[in-house]
Amino acid sequence: MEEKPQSPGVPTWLLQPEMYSPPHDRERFLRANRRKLAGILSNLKLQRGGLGSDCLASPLDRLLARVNPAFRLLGLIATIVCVSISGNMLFAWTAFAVFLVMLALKPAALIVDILEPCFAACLFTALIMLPAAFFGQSSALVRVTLKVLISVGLVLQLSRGVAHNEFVAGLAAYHIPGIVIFILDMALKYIVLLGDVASGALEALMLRSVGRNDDKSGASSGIMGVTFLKAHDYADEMYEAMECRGFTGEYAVAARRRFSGADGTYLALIVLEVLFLLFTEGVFL
Amino acid sequence: MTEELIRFSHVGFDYGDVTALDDVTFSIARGQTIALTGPNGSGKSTALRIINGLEFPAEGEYRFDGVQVDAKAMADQQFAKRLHQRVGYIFQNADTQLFCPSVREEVAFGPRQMGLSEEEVERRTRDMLQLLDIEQLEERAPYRLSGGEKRRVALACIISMNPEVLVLDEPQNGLDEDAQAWLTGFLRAMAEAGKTIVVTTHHRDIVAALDAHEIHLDKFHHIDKA
Repeated sequence: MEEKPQSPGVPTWLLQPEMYSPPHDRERFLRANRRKLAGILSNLKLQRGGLGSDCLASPLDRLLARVNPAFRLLGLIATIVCVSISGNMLFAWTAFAVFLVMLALKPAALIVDILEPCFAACLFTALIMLPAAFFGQSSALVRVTLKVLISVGLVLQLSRGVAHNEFVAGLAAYHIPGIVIFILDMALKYIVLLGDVASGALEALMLRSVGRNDDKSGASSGIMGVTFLKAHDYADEMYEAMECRGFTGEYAVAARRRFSGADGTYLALIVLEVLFLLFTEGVFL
Repeated sequence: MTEELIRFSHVGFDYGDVTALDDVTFSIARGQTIALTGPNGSGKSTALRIINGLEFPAEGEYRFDGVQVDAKAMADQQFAKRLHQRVGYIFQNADTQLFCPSVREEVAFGPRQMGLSEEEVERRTRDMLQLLDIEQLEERAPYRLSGGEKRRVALACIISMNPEVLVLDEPQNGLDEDAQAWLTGFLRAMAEAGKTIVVTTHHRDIVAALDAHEIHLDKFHHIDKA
């Protein structure tokens, strides 16, 4: 065997091959959290930097992308309120059908991405509503679960179909103070940055967890500590940077979009939706 | 004859719409020092992440010591832990790599994980603090150290696990000239100690100083020359 040259100062154990067999340890929590956090961050980054081609693959989504995000938010709120207050199931089932059509036009990966949290919300709701079924109100269980499914599904569809920066800028249409929009935008930016720190630290912990860790909570609190300290440093840096740029507390957000034909059509659809709700509730009879 | 330790065969990888590596093939022999060079976004860091089993090739295959490293292999906890012990990864940003309350605990974390006796943990910790010249920092919180000191602590906490391969992502970033010279000398000492070393860098002078074999990734995410 070839003899290795001895380096000055290098301890002898470092020159020997490490005969090591890792013991078994429960680490699913660490690995699952790292994967989940990475997934959330990648979604947030995608949303901040503009939408990926997958998000606008459906022709309906491309049409909706022409509408001011502020109006889409209004449409979402109107739909959720209408679904929630509707006593007649016809409206809820119609909204559900529209939701399914919109979903069916999207790529498979995006459908899964939207449906996973929807099903989790439905399961949770169904569990809460289970006692109603035992008291003979099984229709209430179906009604509430369906309404939750539609509401959560529509929120997710909107969040996957509008870039966050567009969405935040769109709030200017409602005359929300610029400073509020600025804080919201910064909060989203720093969620991504701090998420990266936490994700990196989790990765480091995973790479160095080569054996049995009897102090998992200690390691986890270390990661939380690093993230907290980093948040503090980011806040200081941000404050100094804004001072250096002459920030006086005023922040003007320019309205990026003019009112378009697509906006008008979308608002007309919201009015039609409300009229349909009133019709199903028998207001016109 | 040199023994092959790391092999990339026609490896392709992308982040959604963005290509990071495209049909990359190279091999690294045991004890070799390799510098992965190339412009920003050419896929150097992605290659390191694949070497560490943090990402898996979308196309082609990556083998470590003859064993294919993919999602299936890494699902085996024993294999994953052994790979992470054998391949020591020093992040570009040492801030995120250090999470213990003191430098001493940081360095001892790995050996303690490996189930070594407390005497051996103590010996390794002491050796590393001496070797990296950070004894005076042992009770300090890693987060509050300077960039150069953090880099030394990160090196100490990885090397204390006695890995066969040292993988360093742009290790000279944020270091002054003296610290860079120290780092180059240290990596040469590690190479002489038989460690396989893979570094990514933008600087050709580091490649020369380490007497490293250069693998250049071009802006098209291909190997330009090897």
